[in-house]
Amino acid sequence: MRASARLEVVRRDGRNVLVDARSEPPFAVRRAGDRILFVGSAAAPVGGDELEIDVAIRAGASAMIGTVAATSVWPGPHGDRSSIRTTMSVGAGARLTWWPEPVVSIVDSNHRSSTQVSLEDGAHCTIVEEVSLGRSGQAPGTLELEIRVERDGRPIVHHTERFGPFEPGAGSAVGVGAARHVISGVVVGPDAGDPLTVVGRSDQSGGGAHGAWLPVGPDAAMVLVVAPDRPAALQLLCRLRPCLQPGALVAGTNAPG
Amino acid sequence: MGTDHDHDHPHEHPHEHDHSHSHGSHVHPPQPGIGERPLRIGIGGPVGSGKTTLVGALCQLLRDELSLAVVTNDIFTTEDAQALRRAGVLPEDRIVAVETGCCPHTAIRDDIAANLDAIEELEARLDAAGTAVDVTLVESGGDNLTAVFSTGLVDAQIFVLDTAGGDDVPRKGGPGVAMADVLVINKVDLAPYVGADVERMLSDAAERRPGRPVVPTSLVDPSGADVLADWIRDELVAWRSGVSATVTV
Amino acid sequence: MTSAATFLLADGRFPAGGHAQSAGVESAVRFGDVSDLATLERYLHGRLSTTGVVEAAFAAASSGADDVRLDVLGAELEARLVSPRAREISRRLGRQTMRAARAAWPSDRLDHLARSVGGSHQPIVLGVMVGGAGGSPLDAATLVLHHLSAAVTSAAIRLLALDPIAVLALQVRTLPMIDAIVVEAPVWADAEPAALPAVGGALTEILAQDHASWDARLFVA
Repeated sequence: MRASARLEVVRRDGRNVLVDARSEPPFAVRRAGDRILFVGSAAAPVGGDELEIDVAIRAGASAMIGTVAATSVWPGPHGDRSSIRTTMSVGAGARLTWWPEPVVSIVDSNHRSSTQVSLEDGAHCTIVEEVSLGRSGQAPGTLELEIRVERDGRPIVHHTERFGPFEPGAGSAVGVGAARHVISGVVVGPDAGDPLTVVGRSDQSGGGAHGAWLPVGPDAAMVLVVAPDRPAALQLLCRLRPCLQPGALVAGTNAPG
Repeated sequence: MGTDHDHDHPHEHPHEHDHSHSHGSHVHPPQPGIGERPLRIGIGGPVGSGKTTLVGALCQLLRDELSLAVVTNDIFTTEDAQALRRAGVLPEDRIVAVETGCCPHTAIRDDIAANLDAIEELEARLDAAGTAVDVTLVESGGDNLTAVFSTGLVDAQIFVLDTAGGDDVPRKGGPGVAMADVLVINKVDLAPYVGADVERMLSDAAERRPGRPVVPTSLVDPSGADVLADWIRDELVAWRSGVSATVTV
Repeated sequence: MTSAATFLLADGRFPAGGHAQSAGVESAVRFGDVSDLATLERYLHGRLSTTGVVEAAFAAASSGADDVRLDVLGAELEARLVSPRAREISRRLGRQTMRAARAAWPSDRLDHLARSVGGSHQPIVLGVMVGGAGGSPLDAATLVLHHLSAAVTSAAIRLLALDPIAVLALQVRTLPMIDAIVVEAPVWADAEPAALPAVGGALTEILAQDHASWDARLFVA
């Protein structure tokens, strides 16, 4: 199954206006206060599905985009791979927060998620992808997560990670060790490139959470957190960058009209 | 404009070394020649012989007249840095630690790239800050008697033995004992307590390295390194006049 | 490139400061991840298929690249080195390799790389050096993985006193993985830099940055 969704937000008369919100099943787009939310059916994506999301935030506009619920990724009938490709452009002086609920990799699934962001001059973004490696008590499937952020055609950061029990080195300190929740974020904007690099750790049962705020440029940073579960991951994230949490407003964002 | 060079006769002033290759017109970048960069002195010797104490003593004796930098291969902690700062030996920004990957002799002799990079970066940084370095001291990680500094890394080297390490060590020799420009027999004040025969050590060493300096020291007080500080001063003068041979102590 | 030249480039004694690089093993040992042959083998597989792939790809892509392409490759590789420490170490190793490269196989392209502030990244310097020696993208990629395997295994031997003969057998078992990775070298040689592999690991970056703050490091990375 192939499906796509498209969003465009412009700045008009002092408000952020959603001018285009086309979506095909399994996608639907809803507004909730100042947020734009994707709603997907609980059964998507399934192995073999190819989904595309295209987001354009035009000059001077702001948007906060997320999902209503976690996206569970299921195995297809023949072990086919499912994929979601998200392409986002953020115009001059525009602001985007993209923070979907976690992707849950269900045992035996095979999924690829690619997020490509292009920024224009003065654009800011907070892009956060969360991954839950398996449902409770179950192993994860195979999952590849790619995040690439560019500005004016030049790369700022490009990080791809492969999860799952069949990956070479699975379980080692090359990847995520024994962690079951991973947060990967890219923040571009004021203070993001603070030269202070923070490496945090919380020691708890289950291996503890580890993470770091890693500047990649004068105004950009990648944040990585691995933890036994989502609460531990979010707690460490808040310590690394007070207080970056789902639902936190991007500086200067106004509620879309 | 001075006299033109007469190219039929040997030159007596320093030249840049031009490592030309036969690969067309491309040239390996010329390295600064004798006297055109800081003098680099290696300090080597077995663990515990007193290298670090010697480095500290030399810094205290020379820092008011010379701009010094230190690169250490010894395992270096923030505690060590703080101790040096408290003792006022040398500001922390003049000291750099280089990891050797558990191979201290490799790092000063067989594969000097990491040390060379650290030395050049440190010298360039201090130069850019307006405090060009006169002498860079390079301290090896503690190793055994077979370790020596590459001539690609340092211009002269001091090898430090101590009386408590055994008074038969100079007789055993080895490249460190034989090749160092100065051999130091340190901790002579401990000799009575460990039953070491210092005279024998000095004469054994002289046999292993005829005509080259052997210096007994006790570094309980930094002034115990006066002789070596003088040697460095003389080395620097010779270095700057383009003479590469070391002077006698 | 002659076999003799290849073997010189592959020699563990090649004087580019590689002996002080553990490829994250020092961190992994303290983290409790690597403690014996089995966990070393797992770590090696992980490292080869993440940072190894990226470094091999960029070395292959650099081996025949002109100055313009080299600059783009430098920017793309930098974007894949997420932690500041990883970027710093990559440039430091690049400077160290550059010293040996310019003495051994000097070239205008190496001169171009040497002019980058802080130096150029290690895989790119190595790639250009291999190209200058007459080597192919496949040679460059294979050398990267060969040296990575050596860095990982020799660090583990020094830190854990593992039997070097058993470790050699482990390296030989890993050769098919290396062969399978470098088969892509001709594709990488001509690829758009933005499309080159970017695969890495979260803990690789987090632990590398943490390592920078350690007291008494034995290895540089």
